Amino acid sequence: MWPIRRSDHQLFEQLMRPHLKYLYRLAYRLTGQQHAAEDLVQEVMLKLFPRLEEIEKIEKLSPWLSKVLYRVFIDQLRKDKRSPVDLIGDDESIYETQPGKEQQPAEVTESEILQKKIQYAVTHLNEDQRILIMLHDVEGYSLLEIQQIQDVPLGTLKSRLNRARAKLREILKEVEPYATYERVKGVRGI
Amino acid sequence: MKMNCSETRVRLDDYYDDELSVLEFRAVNEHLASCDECKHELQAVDALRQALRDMPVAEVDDEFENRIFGEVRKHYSGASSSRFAAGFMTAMAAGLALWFATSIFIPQLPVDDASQVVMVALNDAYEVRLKFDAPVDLEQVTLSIDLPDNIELEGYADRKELTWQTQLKQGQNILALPLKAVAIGEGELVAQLFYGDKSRSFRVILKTTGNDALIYQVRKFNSV
Repeated sequence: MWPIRRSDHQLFEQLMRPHLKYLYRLAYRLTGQQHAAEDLVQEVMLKLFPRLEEIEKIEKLSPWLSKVLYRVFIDQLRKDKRSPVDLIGDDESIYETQPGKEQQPAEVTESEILQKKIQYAVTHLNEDQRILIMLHDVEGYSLLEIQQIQDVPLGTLKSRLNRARAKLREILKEVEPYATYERVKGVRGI
Repeated sequence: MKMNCSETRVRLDDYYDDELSVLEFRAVNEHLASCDECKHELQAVDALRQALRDMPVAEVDDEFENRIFGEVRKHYSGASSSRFAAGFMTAMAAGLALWFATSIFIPQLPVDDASQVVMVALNDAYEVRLKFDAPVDLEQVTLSIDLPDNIELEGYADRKELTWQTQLKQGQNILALPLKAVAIGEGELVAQLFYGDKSRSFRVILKTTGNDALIYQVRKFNSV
């Protein structure tokens, strides 16, 4: 580590600040949890500060930063998978809400129903599929951008994305409580 | 180029994303112009995509950026990188990471009384992580760690008991303890957390073997 000057921090913050919220958003999509997303961004910033000189020379920081954040996320995921004990009580995850448990049908609108269904369905995708749906269909990254982030051939990504969408639709069809509710709504004409 | 319904439907996502060749795009367009069922399918694609794009993101508070950069400044100025783990080395150690999780100070929530028994090879460094879910920011929290005789906290080889004051942020707080087994034996790691007149204890049974492969089991214990 080089001798750190105050101006190094100022420069680092000047370079990184415009990207923080965007990185947080990506982190949130990857982790599904606010605190985990903030921690992930924090971890990335801690890893990047010693690379200030390299960062200064990068012309397009956004895609580069996305890739770094994705790598850190995957590393963390691998570490967690090596843990012999599952995490208990990650109850803040938006993905873990079971449709039908939070609100009664009469209290929710149709778009809220669809949101709940989708959040539920997303949790039941495998990790690769979930990440791909999050990046492409939710955040609007192009396949080319995802290829740069993940280092996966375009053709592979495309077929994975197709499979992920097929799985998502399959799960959505299986979310019976709301399917029933929608049918009832339709009959009553509410 | 003419397309039937099934040929059209497998291309609807790509049509929606504008990722078809010109010829395919035209063929799908032509089919859609004359097929209400496929048009309906396209509307379903649109509804799903819209709902996906509308998935909410929890907003960060105004201090988010300052907090992030504050930690970077602290970390690279010789101070501790983690206010929660203040006083501890937080370097990741190879091997096991054990997570304890609980919700603290919320009387109506059931307490998970599961205790973990961890068997580790002698002289292997590993990491035990304690996860505390706090309902609100908590100042003046006292944490204490008691280690069994055969276990060392890296960087604190001569200390079997450590107590320090810290603060918990709302939500998830992680305390990573880099531990090393220095003798064969079995004992309890006890972490105690005190806030006001309330306290909570967490226990991990640590068993050290020779150079056996890592195994683990879970057994019940009585919480304090």
